[in-house]
Amino acid sequence: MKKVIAKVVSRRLFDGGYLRLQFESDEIAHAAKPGQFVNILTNPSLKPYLRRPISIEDVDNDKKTVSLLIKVVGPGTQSLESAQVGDQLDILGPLGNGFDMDSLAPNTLLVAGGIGVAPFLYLSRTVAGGSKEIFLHLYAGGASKADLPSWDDFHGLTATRKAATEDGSFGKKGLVTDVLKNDLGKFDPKQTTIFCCGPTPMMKAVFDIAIGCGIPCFVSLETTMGCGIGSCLGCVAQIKDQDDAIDHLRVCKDGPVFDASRLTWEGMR
Amino acid sequence: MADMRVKIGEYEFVNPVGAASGTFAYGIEYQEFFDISKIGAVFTKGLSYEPIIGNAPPRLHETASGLLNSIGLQNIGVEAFCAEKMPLLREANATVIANVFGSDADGYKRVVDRLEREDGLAGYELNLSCPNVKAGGISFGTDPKIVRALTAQIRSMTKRLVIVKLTPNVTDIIPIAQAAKDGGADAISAVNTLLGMAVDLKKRRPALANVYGGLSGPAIKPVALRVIHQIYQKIDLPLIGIGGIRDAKDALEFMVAGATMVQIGAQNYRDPFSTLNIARDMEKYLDDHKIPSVAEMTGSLIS
Repeated sequence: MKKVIAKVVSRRLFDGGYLRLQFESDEIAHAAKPGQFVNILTNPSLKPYLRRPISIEDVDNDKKTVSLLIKVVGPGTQSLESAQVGDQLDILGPLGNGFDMDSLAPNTLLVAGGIGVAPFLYLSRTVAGGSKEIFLHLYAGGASKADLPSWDDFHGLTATRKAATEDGSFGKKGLVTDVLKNDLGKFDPKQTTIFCCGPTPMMKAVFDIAIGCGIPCFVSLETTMGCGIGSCLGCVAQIKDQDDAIDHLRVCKDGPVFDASRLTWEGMR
Repeated sequence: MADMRVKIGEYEFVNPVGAASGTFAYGIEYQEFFDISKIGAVFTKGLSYEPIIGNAPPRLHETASGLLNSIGLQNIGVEAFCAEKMPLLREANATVIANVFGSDADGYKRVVDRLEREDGLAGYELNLSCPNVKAGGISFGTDPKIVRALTAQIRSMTKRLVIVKLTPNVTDIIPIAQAAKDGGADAISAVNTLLGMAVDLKKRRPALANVYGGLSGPAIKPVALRVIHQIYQKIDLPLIGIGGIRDAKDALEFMVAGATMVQIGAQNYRDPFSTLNIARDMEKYLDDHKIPSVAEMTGSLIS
C-alpha cells in the first residue's frame, strides 16, 4: 500500500451520473489485484471530511494507469466529478484483499448491481489473460440502460453476458436476480462459484439463491470507512465464526470480499 | 533547528506530537508508512484484559468537519497485544503509551498488571471517558471520587507515566482534573470525543447502531482548546491536548493554551503521515519565528 499523488489522465462522463476517472500510478497499477480499492482524499478542504473508498475498475500495466468507475451521489463523488485531466489526486492504495482468485471455479458467475459492476472488469481482464480455463458469466443489472455504463467494455472478456433492467430499456426487463435464478440450473454446483457486488438487498438475494443451489457465493461489501487501512475499526462487517460466535471484521482490511455464508448481514446499509 | 523535546515527569519525548488512541491501531501498523520512533508517542488502541468484539455496525457517520463513531472499544485484549504487537513496537523503538480501560476498577488493574511485565512501555493512559461503555450507564470520568481512587490505584502499581484521559461530557472539568492530580497522575490528556448523534432521515433511524457516538475532528477543536485552557489555569499538571488538530498551527495553538504535548486523532484517517508531518511543520514554524524550543510555547497565551 502506498500514498501517491497521482495525475488524472482521462475523464469521461456517462449518462445516469457515472464517471470514469483514470489516473497515473506505476506503483498502484503494478500492485493492484482484482477487487481491491483505493481511498481518495477527494477534497483537500473539509467537505467531505473523510476519504472516499472507490473500487479499482481496471488497470493498464503498460500505460501504468488505473481506472475508476464512479457513481456521482454525494459530496465526495461530486468533488471527483470536478477533477480535470492534469489535476492531482491524493490516493492511498491498493487496499483490501480483493477477490480470492483461487476461489474461481470453472464456471464463475459475476453478478453485478449498478455501480457494483466496476471491479468485475479488471477481474475479467485478469482471468482472460490468465492460463486457467475459466468461463466467466456476467449478470449485470440496473434500473435502466444508463446503469450499465461499462457493458461494452466486457466484450470478449466473458463467455456469456446477460443484462437486466427494471424499466426494460436494456436486456431483460426485471431484476438481475431473476435472470440469475432462471439460469442456475445450467451450471453444475460443484463447478460453479458466484462473485457478487451491488446493493445490500441484491447481494443478500443472490446469496439466498446461491445457498439454495449449493453454490459458493462471495460478496464485495461497501461501507462507510474511516481510514481504509485497518486502523479505525469503523467499517466492520458482522460475521459468525465456526462456533457461531459473533465477531466484527474490517471491510477495508479483512475484506472487502467476504464468503457470504459468514455474514450476519446485521447493520449493512 | 528548534529543540522539539518535551518532558512529562522524568520522561523525555522526542517531540510533542503523539498519535491518539483509537486512531492509530496498535501503532506498529503505521511502520509501513514511516518510522514511528520519529513521533512523540504512540497511544495505543484502548486495551482491555479480555478481547472485545465491539458494537454492531454501522459504527461511523461523517458530519460537517468531523466524524461520529461508536466502535465500542473493540480490541484484541492485553495478552494478544503483548504477544503480537509489543515485540514489534520494541523492535521499532517506538515510544509507547498503552491506553487501558476496564468495565470496573479491577479491569484496569488487571490490564496494567499484565503490562507491567512487558519492557518497552513509557506509560499508561487511563481511558476514563469513552462514552460507549455501558458500565452502569455512566463513564468513570464523570465522578471525581472514582477518578481519584482509580488513578491512585494505578499510581501505586507502576513507576511509569500515568496519564488520565478526560471526557469533555461533564458540567465542570476542574474537579475531575483535580481528582486526577490528587490521585497522583503525571499528566492529563483532554479531550476524548464529545457525545453526539446523527439521524438517517430517509429511514427515520439513528445513523449509528449504538444510537450515540463520539464526535471527533475539526468540529470539536474549539471545545477542546477551551478545556485545555481551563485546566491549565487551575491545575498544575502537564496537559496533552487532543481534539480536531489538523496541522502544525492547530497543534501550536493547543500548546499556547497550555498543552505540553498534543495528540493527533481523526486527522490520521485523512493522512496516515499526519503525526510525522505535523511534528516537522511545527519545527519549521519555530525556526521561522526564531523560537529555540517548543517547550516555550506551553502556556504562552497572552491574555
